[in-house]
Amino acid sequence: VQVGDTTVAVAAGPQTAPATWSAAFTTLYRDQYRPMVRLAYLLVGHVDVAEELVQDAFLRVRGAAERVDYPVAYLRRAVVNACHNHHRHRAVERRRASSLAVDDAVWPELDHLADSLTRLPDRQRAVLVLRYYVGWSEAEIAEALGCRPGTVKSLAARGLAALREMVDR
Amino acid sequence: MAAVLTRDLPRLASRVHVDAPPLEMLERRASDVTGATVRARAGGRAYRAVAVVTMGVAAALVATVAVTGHGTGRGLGRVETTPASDAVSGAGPATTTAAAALPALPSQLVAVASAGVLLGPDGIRLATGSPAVGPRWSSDGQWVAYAVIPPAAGPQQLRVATASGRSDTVVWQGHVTAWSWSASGPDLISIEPAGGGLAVVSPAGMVQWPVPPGSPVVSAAWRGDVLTWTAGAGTALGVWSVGGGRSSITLPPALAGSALIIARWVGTGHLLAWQAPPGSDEDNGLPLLDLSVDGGAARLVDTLATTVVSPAWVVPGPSGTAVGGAVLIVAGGGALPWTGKSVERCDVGAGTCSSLAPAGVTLDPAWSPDGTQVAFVSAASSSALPSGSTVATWFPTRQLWVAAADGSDPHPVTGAGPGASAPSWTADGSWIRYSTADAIAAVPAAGGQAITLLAGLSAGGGDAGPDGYGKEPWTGLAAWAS
Repeated sequence: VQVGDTTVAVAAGPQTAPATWSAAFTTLYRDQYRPMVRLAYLLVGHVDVAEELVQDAFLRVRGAAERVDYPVAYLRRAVVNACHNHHRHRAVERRRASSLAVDDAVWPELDHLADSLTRLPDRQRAVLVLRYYVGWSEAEIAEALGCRPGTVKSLAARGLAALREMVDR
Repeated sequence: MAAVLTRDLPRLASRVHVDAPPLEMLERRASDVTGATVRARAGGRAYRAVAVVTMGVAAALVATVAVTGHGTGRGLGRVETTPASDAVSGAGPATTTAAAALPALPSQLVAVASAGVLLGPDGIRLATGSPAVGPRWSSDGQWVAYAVIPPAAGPQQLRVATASGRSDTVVWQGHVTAWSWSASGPDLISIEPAGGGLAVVSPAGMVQWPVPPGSPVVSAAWRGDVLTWTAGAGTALGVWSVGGGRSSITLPPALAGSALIIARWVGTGHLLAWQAPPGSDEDNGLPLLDLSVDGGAARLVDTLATTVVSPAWVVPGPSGTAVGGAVLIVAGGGALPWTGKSVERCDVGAGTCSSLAPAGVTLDPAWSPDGTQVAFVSAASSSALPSGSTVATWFPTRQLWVAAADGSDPHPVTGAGPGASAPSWTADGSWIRYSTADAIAAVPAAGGQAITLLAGLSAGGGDAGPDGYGKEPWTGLAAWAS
C-alpha cells in the first residue's frame, strides 16, 4: 500500500468477518487500517488516540465502501474529519507534548521534528501533514478543515515558519 | 522546510506499527453494547472472548472487564462501559461511610474505585467524571494508579494520584491490556497497550518504550525494579531496566513453541509462568511452571500444577519470613470457580506442592504479614448446590477461613460475613479485610465483630465477578497499602 512516499506492508491479523461486514469493507479495513492510523497519528500525535479515531472512521464509512467510487479517499476524509473533531472537542486532553516520539532508540534524528510538530497549533499541523504527507491541494485541505483556501495558505506559511524556527533552534 | 517534511513525515509515520484488530472488535464498537471483549495475545495472535459482566445495582453501570483471568498482576484489561445514567451519584453513600470508618484502621490506606469515584486514605473523593476501576498502590505507597472507563467510545485513561489525593493526573490515554507498578526502586508503571509494545510511564507522565509500539508482547512483570516480558513463542525473556537498557534471559529449549504468560516473580531467582502451547485453552487453565533464573538463563524446575491464568491466585510468601520461598496457588483447572479448586502451598526451590486447605472448594489465598497464617475463602462446590444454580447464587456461599502456614488448624473466621473475597491482612496481622459483592469489611483475624468499611458499593449485586466466571475476586474494588 502506498502512503505518501512510503510503501507499507500491511500485516493483517486473523479476522473472522461477521455477516454484517461486506467483502469490500473487509478488504478496505485490512489494507487501510495501518496507513490510516499513521495518518491519524501524525494529526493527533498519539497512536492510541489515532487508533480510536480510525476505528470510528471505519465505522462511519461502513456501508459506503461499495457505493463510493474511491473508498480509500472517502475513508481518508473520514479520518481527517475525525481528527479535526478530536482537536476541537478534546483540546484539553492533548497534554502529552512528546507523544510523537514513539521510538527514540531507532529514529533519534526524527525526534526533534516530532517534538516540534506537537508544539504547533492543531490547524497548522493539520495543514502541513495534509499538504506534505497526504499530498492534498489547498482546496481539498480547506474543505476538510472547514476554512477558506486563503486560510490554508496562511496556516501553512505560519506553520512552516514556526517549524523552521524550532528545528533550527 | 517543505522538502524536509516531504521526506520525514513518512518516516515519522512509519514508526507506527499497528495491525488491524479483529473485525469483531469493530463490531462491538459499532453496536455500542457492552459485550465480549477480545484480548489479543500478540505473539500467538490468538484472539479470545471473555464473558460479559454486569456490574452495578444502583447506577445501572454495565461494564466489561477483560481481565481474562488475570488479577492484580494483569488485572486490568480493556474496559468499556455503556453510559451510566447516574454513575457517580451511586457512590455517594460509600463516600460518607468511608470517611467515618477508615480511622478505625489508622495504619492502613484504602483506595476504592466504584461508579466514578476513588477514595484516598482520608476518604477523599476524586471525581473522575467516569467510572474508575483497578486501583493499585505503588510499592512505596506514595501513589495510586487507577483506570477510568470512558463514558462512550473514548480512550481509556490511566490516572495517578498522590496518597494525599491532592494531585490526580492522566498519565496514559488509550486502551491497555495490562499494567502494573514496579515492585521496588523508582515508581514506574508498565503498560501493555492494546496495540502492542510495552511502555513504562512515570507518575509524571514520562513515557519510555522497552518494546516499541506495535511489537508483540504476551505478558510482562516486574522483577523488583527490572521489567521482564515474553513475546510470543520466543526462546527468551525480555529484560529492561532504567538506565540499563535491554537484555534477555534464555528460556529452556523444552519451552520452544509455547508462549509463556508470566504469573509473577518469587524473589529474583524464580519465575512462575503459565505455559501456553499453540491452541491451548487459557480459560480452562494452563500448566504453571516454576523456572529458576540465574544470570542470563532460566532452568525449568518443575510444573507446579494446572491453574487458571490468574496472578491473584499465585501469592508469594512475605519476603524476610520463613515462607519467603513459598507460594500459595489455587490449583485446579476449569473456568468456573466452584469445582476443582483448592489452595496449595508450593516450594519454588523444590518445585513441589501440597494441599494446604481442607477438602472442598478453596480459593483467594492470602499470607499473614509474618507468614505464619493463611487466610482463604472456602465455598460450596457445584455438587452441593441445587440444580439450576449459577455463579451468582454460589457467590454468597464464600466464607472466610484461616489456617496455619503448614495447613494445620483450618477454621472459619467467626463474625465474617458471607460472600467474602480477596482477603487482605492488615500490617499488624490483627485484622483481615475482605470484599463482598457490594461492600468492603474487616474482621479481627481471631474472629469477632466485623465492621463495614464501605457499604453500598455499586460494583456488585451478586454478580459473577469481574471476569464473568466468578473465579476472579473483586480485587478491582479495593487496594490496600501495606
